[in-house]
Amino acid sequence: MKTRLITTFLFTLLIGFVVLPAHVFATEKAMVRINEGWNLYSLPFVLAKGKQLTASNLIKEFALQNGTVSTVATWKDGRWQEFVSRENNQTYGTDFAIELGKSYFIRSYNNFDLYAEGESAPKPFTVTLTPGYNFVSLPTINQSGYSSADLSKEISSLSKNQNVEVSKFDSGLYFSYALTGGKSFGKSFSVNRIGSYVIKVDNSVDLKK
Amino acid sequence: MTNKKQSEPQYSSLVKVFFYMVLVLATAVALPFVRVIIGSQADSVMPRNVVTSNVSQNSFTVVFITDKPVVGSLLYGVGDKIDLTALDGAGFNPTYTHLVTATNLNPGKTYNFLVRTDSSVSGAGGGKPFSVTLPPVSQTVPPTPKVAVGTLTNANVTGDFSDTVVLLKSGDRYLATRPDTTGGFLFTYTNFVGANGAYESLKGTTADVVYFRKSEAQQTFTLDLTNSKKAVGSKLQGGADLTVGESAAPVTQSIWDQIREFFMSLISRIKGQGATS
Repeated sequence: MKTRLITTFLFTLLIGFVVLPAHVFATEKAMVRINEGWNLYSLPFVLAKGKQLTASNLIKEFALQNGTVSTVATWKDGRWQEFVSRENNQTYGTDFAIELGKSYFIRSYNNFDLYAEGESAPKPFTVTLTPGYNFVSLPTINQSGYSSADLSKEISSLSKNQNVEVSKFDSGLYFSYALTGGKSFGKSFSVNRIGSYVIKVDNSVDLKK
Repeated sequence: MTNKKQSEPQYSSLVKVFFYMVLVLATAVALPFVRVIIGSQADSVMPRNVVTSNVSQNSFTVVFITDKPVVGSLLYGVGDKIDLTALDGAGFNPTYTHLVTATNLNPGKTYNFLVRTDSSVSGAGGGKPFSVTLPPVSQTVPPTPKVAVGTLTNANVTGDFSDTVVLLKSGDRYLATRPDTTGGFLFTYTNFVGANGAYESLKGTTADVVYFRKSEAQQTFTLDLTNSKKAVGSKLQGGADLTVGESAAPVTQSIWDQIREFFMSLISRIKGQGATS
């Protein structure tokens, strides 16, 4: 009887150490509010191995969470590339891949909370910024208190004469922070891994986070 | 007979004790209401230069000025249901200039709002609230953000620009922001949203800017967008040649509304203290 109890206890411990860390502790959750209208959206977690997400799949994923989204737009070569899916299943535009580290405008027809669950991106995660506007996300930032002022300083330090503008899009408007000529302008805001941002730079840099 | 006569004074004193108890209880219950009524009249601070700005499909901002530092907020909602609250960006710090934003709203809806300064509530006059109709959703993707920056400079200003609001004007629409303490300010001027929902930029290369610092008279100047990237020191023209904002009038409230307001603000303050501690 005593031996059986000890065996059961050890087996439970083994299951706890081997199974739980792999399936429970690596999974993280995030919630993003989507408003009726235009929203800037980015993937908060890495996709499961072998899974590819496109604009059309993303619209279907939103529908599973009661979100009616018609359009996903990506900023490419200085202009918007849109994929539109209508209620009658008619689609317009070329479907494109949704990538980790990029942000996209989505057009929603209702307000809903979007829940996501997955694994964090491995560090360091590199975001390549090219001159002009970059629609990005920073999925590895897990630092409390990290702000647009910190991010701007960091980007500015990577290249000489680098002016930086960091913006977020909230409730239909952009909120911007600029570091230009060594002086900062605008109210600094929190930057986190589930946020979506627009970063304007003068020179190309690789931002490793 | 003798017994009856003896019992009468006892009965009378019991009534008196009961009466005094009721009086004490009634006073205790009525005191907060008296404080609300007297307080709302004695502490009444009328907001002026009420400007609806930063209007988008999902949000709007109200700017107003008060003659003494107070905590500002908005009561807002759709139709007669004005039951939502938004607090000044300055939080519970009393200020002269106020910038309050309501977010996560629905496109195309008309929102009514009242301006609250400490315990008094103001509307557009005639007992009516102010109102703003949010534009419908734009058919096109929002443009990339374009910013204009500048620095407020004024020889007459002693101290900092912490209690200041800056407004950028385009047609009959405004964008509002707070400068930093040294006067540096930033406008994302592609945030002008037209009545049809389309995002519009400023027309031309210059724009009128007005700013309010504490309770001082408004200052106006022209922002030159061609130099905005270089953080120009803005040239102040002085005077008040722009008419900015509406006047506010007190809203007559029923006793029950005032009681509700009192407890709402009490709860907000307790929550705020909890959040900051």
